[in-house]
Amino acid sequence: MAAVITVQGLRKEYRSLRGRTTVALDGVDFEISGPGVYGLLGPNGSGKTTTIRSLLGLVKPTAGTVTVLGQDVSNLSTVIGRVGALVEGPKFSPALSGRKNLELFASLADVERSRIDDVLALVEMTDRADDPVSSYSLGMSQRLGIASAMLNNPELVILDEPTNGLDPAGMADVRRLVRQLASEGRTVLVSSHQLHEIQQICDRVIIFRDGRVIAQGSVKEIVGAAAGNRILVKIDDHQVALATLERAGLTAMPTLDGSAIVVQIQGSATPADVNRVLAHEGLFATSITADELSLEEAFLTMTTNQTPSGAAGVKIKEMQ
Amino acid sequence: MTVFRSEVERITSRRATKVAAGVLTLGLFAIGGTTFLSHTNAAPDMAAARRLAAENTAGCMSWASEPDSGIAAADIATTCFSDPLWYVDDPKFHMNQILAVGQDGQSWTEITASIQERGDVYKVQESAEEEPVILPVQQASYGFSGGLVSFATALSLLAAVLGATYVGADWRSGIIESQMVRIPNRRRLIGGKFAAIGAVSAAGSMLFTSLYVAAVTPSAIWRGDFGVADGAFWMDVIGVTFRTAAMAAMMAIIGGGLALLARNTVAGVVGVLVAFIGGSFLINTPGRWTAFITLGENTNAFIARADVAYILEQSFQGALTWDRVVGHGYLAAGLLLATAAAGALLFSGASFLHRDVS
Repeated sequence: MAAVITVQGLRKEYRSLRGRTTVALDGVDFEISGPGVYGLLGPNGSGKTTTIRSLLGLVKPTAGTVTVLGQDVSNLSTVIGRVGALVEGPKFSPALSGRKNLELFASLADVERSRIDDVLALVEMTDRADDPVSSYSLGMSQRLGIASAMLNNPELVILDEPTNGLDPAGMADVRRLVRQLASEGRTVLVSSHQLHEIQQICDRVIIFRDGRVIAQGSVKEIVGAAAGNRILVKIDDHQVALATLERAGLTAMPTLDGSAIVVQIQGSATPADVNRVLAHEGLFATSITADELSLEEAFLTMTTNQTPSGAAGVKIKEMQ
Repeated sequence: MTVFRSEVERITSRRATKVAAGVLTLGLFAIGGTTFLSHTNAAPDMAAARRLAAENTAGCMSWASEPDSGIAAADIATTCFSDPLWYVDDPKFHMNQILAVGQDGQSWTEITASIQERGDVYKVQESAEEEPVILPVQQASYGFSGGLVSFATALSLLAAVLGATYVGADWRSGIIESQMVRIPNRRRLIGGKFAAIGAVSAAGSMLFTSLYVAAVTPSAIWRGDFGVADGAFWMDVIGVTFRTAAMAAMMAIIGGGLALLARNTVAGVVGVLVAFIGGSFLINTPGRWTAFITLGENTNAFIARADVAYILEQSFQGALTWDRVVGHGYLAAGLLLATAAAGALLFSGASFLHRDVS
């Protein structure tokens, strides 16, 4: 089965009038092979939106190839009927009603107007559909944007920052909606800064930094790789425990909130060895657990080389 | 076709379009109303006018009958004719006034024949001693100076502004990006968009020029007459209507093209206004080139079936002379504007096809 999206060696340069060149994408490679939810993560300016724009033919790559549903992006017209997208927020005529805006998009894409009621129901906007878009909250506009992306009942849905401006309940709705779309056998590509959201809904993530993909894989793989081999030790006497572990040649430091100690396991050492060292000095841990990073912590670690918020001074090797 | 249909629907659904249509409709009501109310022709006014005309005729005939007046007896009646309408402040509204002013008493065919008189050839002098031959210029202000032509010219300018604001608003709101996500074939998208802009402008201008005629018709029926509005007159009204439609379409495309190129409403509107109004400042500069760059003059000439003139500077017997002479006729003016519209579309379209949207 052909990949849904293939991106190989994608490079995008912007040249200013003064001749200065800015590299937005520098050899991006990734592949999205089948139904599920895929997340694009990265700080502002890392290349996520440029990648999405390249997938949709809005920007022309300087080099590299992009295929969508088996077609080169230059032939996007042949498959666009199977793609729905929302790029950088919803864009509607504010004076017209939500329904009228959808009618215009439906007419543009040659979609049956009967589909409008379906997508309005999907995003729970039926009640407000006849009000002007200018009266909508940001969240309602976002939901209408998703509805417009779903007009042609697409196989591939590309959503750029779909939870922007949504309240927690709205985010939960979008989360549920995205999962629902994936469960219907669609491929959903989501870019977001809401990493907590991504963690909950994505099957796989692709992390960008400085125009490059620095990591890709399942959320579990990404978090595990970023966390490295670390354990979290809860114990009563932190100072004595830290000194003991240091004498044993282990790297250990307290968490920022001081509730536990993070121990870096090195070489062939195991958590049992850590427990044995402490017990030998008469120190007994109340719990020893694997130190699990959130996706946000992993993301920060990989994109900025920052210390995970849970531990002071721990540097995790960057994935390449 | 789907792009065209969708764009037509979107243009006609726009608030700006509705506001412009509403303002125009109200304006036409006002024109119709003030025309009707300002042509009262009250009975006492007409009686006084008839009395003054009779007095004038009597006085004239008395003078003309004198042997030294030099007026032949057979010509006295004609020479001393006084029309009572000359003595009323509010004369009857003649329907032909919507195309030409102050041409009472002649059929429209006669009026147009007289204003179209001009030489066939303009010959630039070959030497400074040869007297320049100046071709009479058929000016819009002489031929079609009526309200309909001015209104039609204003409609063309409005179409240009609406074209610029429509395309500019698409960029500002990002709607064009949403459209491109659905129609990746940019040629198809822009073709449909501009076809719709042109078609709506043409249809709108035809509607409103027709409404203009309709707005003053009650004045002709109840406060005046259809005067000398013969078949030729109505053919000219239809001609003005169709030429205005073509002009509105071209101007809207020029305005939209400028906005597409700049991706900005203000640039589109300012560009059109500078081209339209700015040219008027050049019209008194000597040189044939001025006839080609004055957008407003060419628009007016095309609609009014007039000439576009320019100032010719010549030397005759050691002295410089400046004369307004014919640059080109109304068909050439139309062709020039069609070329400008095609150029705006091609240039902005090429830019749209190749530039990123980011």
